[in-house]
Amino acid sequence: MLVLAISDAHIPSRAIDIPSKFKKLLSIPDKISHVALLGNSTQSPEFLNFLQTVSPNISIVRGEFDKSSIIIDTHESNGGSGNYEEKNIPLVAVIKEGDFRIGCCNGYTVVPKSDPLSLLALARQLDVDIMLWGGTHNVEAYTLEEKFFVNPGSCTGAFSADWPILNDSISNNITDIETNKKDSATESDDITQSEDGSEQLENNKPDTKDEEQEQEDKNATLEEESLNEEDISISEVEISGSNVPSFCLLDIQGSTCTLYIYMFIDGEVKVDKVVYKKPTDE
Amino acid sequence: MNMFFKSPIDVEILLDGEESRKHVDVPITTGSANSLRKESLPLIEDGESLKGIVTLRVREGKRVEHLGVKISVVGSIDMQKVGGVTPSSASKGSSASSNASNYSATDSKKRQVDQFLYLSYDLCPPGELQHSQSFPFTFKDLAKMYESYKGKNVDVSYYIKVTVTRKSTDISKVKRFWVYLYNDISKTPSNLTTTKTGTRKIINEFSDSGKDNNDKPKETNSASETNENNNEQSKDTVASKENGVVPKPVKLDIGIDNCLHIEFEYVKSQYTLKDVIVGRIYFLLTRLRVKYMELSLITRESSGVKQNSVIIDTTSIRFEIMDGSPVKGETIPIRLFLGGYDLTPNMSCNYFTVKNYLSLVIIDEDGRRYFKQSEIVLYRTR
Amino acid sequence: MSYSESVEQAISNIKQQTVLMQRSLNNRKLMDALKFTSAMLTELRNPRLQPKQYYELYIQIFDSLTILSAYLVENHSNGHHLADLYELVQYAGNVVPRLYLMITVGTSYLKIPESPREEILKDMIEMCRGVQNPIRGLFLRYYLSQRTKQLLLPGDDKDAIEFNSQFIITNFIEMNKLWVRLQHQGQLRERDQRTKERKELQILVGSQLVRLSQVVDDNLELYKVEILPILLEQIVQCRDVVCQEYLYDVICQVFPDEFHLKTLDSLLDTSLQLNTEVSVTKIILTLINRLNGYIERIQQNNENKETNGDESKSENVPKDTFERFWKHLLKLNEERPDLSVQELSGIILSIMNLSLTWYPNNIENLDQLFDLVSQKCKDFGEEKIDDSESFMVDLLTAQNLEIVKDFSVYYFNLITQCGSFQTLLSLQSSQSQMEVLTTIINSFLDRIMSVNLKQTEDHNESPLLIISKTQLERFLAILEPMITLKNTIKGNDEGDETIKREFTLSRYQEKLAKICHFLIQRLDKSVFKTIESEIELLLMIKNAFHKGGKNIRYTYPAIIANFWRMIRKCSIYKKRIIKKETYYDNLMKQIFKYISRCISDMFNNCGNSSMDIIYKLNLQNAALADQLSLVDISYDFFSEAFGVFEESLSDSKTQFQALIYMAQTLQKTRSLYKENYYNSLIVRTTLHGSKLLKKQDQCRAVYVCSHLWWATEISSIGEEEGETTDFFREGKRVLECLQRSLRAADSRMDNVESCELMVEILNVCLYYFVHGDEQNTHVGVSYINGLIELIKNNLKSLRLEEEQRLSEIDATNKDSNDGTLGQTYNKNQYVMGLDGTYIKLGNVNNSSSANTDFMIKDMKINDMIQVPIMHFNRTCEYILNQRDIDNRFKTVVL
Repeated sequence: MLVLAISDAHIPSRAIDIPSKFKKLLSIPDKISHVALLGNSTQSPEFLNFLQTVSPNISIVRGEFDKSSIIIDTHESNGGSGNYEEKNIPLVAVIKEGDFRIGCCNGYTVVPKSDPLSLLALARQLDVDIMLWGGTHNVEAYTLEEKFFVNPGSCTGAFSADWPILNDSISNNITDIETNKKDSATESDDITQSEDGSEQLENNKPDTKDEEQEQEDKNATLEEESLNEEDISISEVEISGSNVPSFCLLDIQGSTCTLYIYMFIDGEVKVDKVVYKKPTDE
Repeated sequence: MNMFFKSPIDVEILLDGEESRKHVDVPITTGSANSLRKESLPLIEDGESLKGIVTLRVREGKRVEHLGVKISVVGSIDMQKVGGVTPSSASKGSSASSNASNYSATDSKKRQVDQFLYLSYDLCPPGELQHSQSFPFTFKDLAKMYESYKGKNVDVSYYIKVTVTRKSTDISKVKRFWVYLYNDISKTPSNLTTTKTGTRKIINEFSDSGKDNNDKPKETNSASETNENNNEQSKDTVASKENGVVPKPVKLDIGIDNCLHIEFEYVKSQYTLKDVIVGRIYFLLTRLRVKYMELSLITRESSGVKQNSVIIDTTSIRFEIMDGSPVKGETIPIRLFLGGYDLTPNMSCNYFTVKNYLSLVIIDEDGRRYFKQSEIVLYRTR
Repeated sequence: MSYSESVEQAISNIKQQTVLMQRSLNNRKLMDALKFTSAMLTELRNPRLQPKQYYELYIQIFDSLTILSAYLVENHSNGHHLADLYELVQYAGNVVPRLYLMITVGTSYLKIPESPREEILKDMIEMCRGVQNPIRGLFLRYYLSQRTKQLLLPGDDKDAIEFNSQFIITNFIEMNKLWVRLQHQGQLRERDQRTKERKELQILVGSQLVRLSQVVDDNLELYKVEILPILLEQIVQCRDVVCQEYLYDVICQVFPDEFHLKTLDSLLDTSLQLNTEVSVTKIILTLINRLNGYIERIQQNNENKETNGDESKSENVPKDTFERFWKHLLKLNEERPDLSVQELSGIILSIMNLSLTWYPNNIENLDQLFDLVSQKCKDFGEEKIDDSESFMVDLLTAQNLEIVKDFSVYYFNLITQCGSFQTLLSLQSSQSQMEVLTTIINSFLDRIMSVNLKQTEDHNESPLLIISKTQLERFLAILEPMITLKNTIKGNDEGDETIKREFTLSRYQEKLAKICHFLIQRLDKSVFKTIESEIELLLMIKNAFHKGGKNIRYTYPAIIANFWRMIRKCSIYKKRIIKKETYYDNLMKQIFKYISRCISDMFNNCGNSSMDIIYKLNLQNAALADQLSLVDISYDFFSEAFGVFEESLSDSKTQFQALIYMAQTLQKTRSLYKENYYNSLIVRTTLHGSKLLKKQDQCRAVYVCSHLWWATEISSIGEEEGETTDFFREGKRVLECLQRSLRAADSRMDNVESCELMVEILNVCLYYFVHGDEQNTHVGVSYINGLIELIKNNLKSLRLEEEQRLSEIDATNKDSNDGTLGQTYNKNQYVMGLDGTYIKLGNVNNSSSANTDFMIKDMKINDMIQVPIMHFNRTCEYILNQRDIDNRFKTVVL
């Protein structure tokens, strides 16, 4: 069973669309059984219709820029424009898939924002094994207290008004998580799968990292001589303050959840894999 | 009758070189039934001497006394109806008898009205024939006034007759022959032209047996073309005959008010029998739905006393020249080979005339026929 | 002789006669054979045959006559001289069989070397006039044409070609006449039937032109001087629609395209003389397709030459082709004022196709064309244009033109360089305009999404770049109808309908928002070098969007997002270009002012439904400004947000969420500590939280606000828990908040919810407990233990309270349903969400969460009790687990 976790499209206010390569990847009918739409993605009927084609089974939670309800043209996929339905968008939702209970929320009502402990408390409250959240526009995936936390980032790489992740910090998602773990002063179990995944994620990073640094070096040298804007090239990532466009797929088989992280970097889609197993009661 | 009595003398008339001579097939009629059987007659040309041998054969051991043997050549015009009497079976076949023993060489139904040729001389004086004997004969440079003709009401026939005169019944034998008269092209008969006034006159007089002309009832759909009406009409056409001298193409411009207007043209008005009729029809106006158009050659035999002449038309050729309905401006070609048909050249004498007409017939979708006849002259050339 | 009654009979008769004919031929009895042939030909006289049936018979007869012809040719020298036979067969009494025979013999004769070809050919074609019936005549002449195919005059000399072409033309003319005439045969009411029959027969006529083209070959001079004029004259004269359309098409198809190019004027002039019912569009389209084929070939040739390094200069493309069409178009428009807009637009579309193929870079041509249509539209007035919508859309979008490889470039050029395109668009109905604009916008968006931007920029060949303000102005002018599109529905309508309209409206506005990003992205950086210049253009877009009135609620967020991007750029420049720090500070302030202006526009125009959005935009601005240390600006935005919150957010649910969001935002601020801004803001927030309408909302808001006194690390600015020492933390205030929150929970009348809230507070306490010692957090073990005790007691009393009722239910259940009771207690069935909503979870796998209002209707009381109990149990479990890691947890008493 595949669950698509996708968030923060901000279409049309901040982005035109998700990368067409993403679209192609997702445009395989009957492959994905459930879509978890983690907020800020409901302003575009067009995008919603697209998701409808990915899977008619969509759970939406409210992001700060979603209205409290949406209008869905329920017949759009059939080419007709017949029934319009108004649906309330909840703050949180729980999906049951395989042996997992999956909680979804945008996290704009989680204070402090994206705080692992707060999220952990929420997961406890919702009694879920996997917590999907969004709002930060940055991909994250970690295990805490035997629970799995996934933030698919922004599928469009939309502008984020959060503190920009500057320079080297982009590559530090995972280390952030590790720091968080230390900070929380809780002793996390050895979750080998997760760490494997982390390594993979990190392995992928150097490309961007190097580039960033090169750029930075270049800029640094230029700084001395030039004072003109045109001489400074600013990457999209720097402006949007967000990570690259990304989404996640959760492949759930019984008590195993394999997480695939799709990122759109320099025109290419990169995929990382993290495996999470539900701990047995013993 | 005479078939039952065996003639004591067998008479045979044989022309010189008859075997190699050209023959003409003439249809014969036995009794009243029409038959396609044909009789082959030797052909003699105008002015040609008639030479041959008459052989009289006597039966073995018999002697036949006679009062002289005479040979004669006869040309006669025979007619079934002379006129005045309504012809009852005028169109029925009438044929010259082939029976040699008969006195009359012609059909019993046809009576001789004129014998324009009679030459005769004795082949041998009275005496006794003991064995077969041959007598050559010659009619030198025999002039023949008319061509042989076998028509519906009129025949022109030629024959040689050998008569053995006896005290009892004469024994005679007839041998028919056929005569062609040839015309040179230079010496064409000059009996037909169409003057300009003639042309003008007949505009709008295009014959329509079906509807318009002469207060005829509209619904008549007679397909007959042997009507008096037509005859009267065509009088106009030929009224002006004998005037012209030079042969000209036949050109006519005819029509029916607001319905049809055509111009047609035959290249010549006179044709030899092996000629080709060439012409064209130009449609100036057609509001008719034409089904087809045909060209017929009509041979008109008129005979008898002028006031009560018997006129018989025979359609010698029917030839479709157009299929479908043309529009304004179309020109339809005419080409009719005559050589393949057995046609009669024009003839004229006191007792009868044979004339030929080309009839252009247009048949519309409703079966109505519109036609126009124009006389042409056919003549025989060598 | 007469023909058969039915087609089947006719076919079998033909077969039979063919057998007889062949037998006679084998016995060398030609006359008999001709007789049988004649008999079979009689079938072709049948006037009742449909064209298709006639064709069937014709095919059979054609084959039979081929046998005869072969015999005739073979036996020409021994007995049957074909000249004689040619005469002989003409004795046939009926014209149709006669002519078939004649042609058979005649064409056989043509195969004999010494035959008088010219005469025979002339004679045959002349005699064919005898058949004036359309169907029979057409087939007869087709027969003539088929039979003479290889037998026209030999040789390539001029005379022979002329004679041959003359022969074919003559036949063609006659066939055409017959074909046209067919229309006027029979009953008037059968006209349609006739037209159908004619279409079935058209190929016979068309084949003549094919033959002609083969004979003419590449003899342009002959074609131009002697052939085309005659053909065109015929076409014009017949005045028949079917014929004119068909033959024009055939001429265009069968003759080489370079001929058409050379004779373009006469082709075009002739088209003016055609029957007015003839679709001029179709004719011109065909012609243009041919000419386009020509140009494509030339271009290919040229490419080949270039690749072959061939020095011989590539063939030149005539420069005036468009001009010629244009002149023609003007003439047409003048002479045919009756021509509908639809027809005209069809023609123009074709000519556009031509222009785009021949002169792909010439936009002026298109401008002229659009101008003409605009003129026409104006002449016709508005009411008539409505009927013409779909073709107008076709014309404007050019979607059917294959030549346009990249529509985005095409539209881009049209918009930026072709003024009359906009004029024409503005004359259309609103619906058409939307359709056209949607297509255009989609093309841009598709392109920008599919092309890897980085690549194109690297290669410096991305054509879609806006290089001047004028261009942008044109863009905005084009978009104006969409910007100002009104949701025309008034209140009286059905609610559903309004929703639908709103839905459609929002779709168009979505496009606009997207195009705003597109425009900004496509600014040519070599022209618009500075941020200032970009800002100027963005302001232009903003002003254009402002005309949309209420619609700005859809479009302004996009504008604002672009301003944000500029702000962030400034911040980056500011860091890199140290000398201009103040310049960028001022610039950023300026941009914030523009944003502020945008927000207040929205506030003034958009009404209540957008207040929540406005509120959040303010907060995001505040956050951004804070990040940039623009303290005053940040504070102003926060104040604005409070203003909106206090005055315009009335719905309690919205208020609650808005307030939490405020807390979240504030918790991440760092620069507001100066001037006590932060303090006043968080106090105000907490105050608002404690004043929320519902007790449970108060409770939750307040415990959330406790975090405002407990800053946590923001790793992206280098903060790190344990390392950073200057976090804003006031544990005392935290505790105050928690206590206050607990009071609210306690005063909640609903026991179940009260318990749940306490468990939630317990969890918040644990958060702080993890974070530090009691002297910092003021949340100590004793406090936690007290809270646990409280919860336990409450839960106990809750159980007691409900036990009675539960046992009653149990009893009834047992009575009715022995022993199945256990299933009703599914502990996982419900949980409570962040805002106090119950979330029901189905038992079945994969069933999605059902999350409704505060009360789920069929929810049973025992289910509700389970919610706080289970939550508490989970919390306890967590505490137990933590004991392994953190000894302090061992002091927590469970």
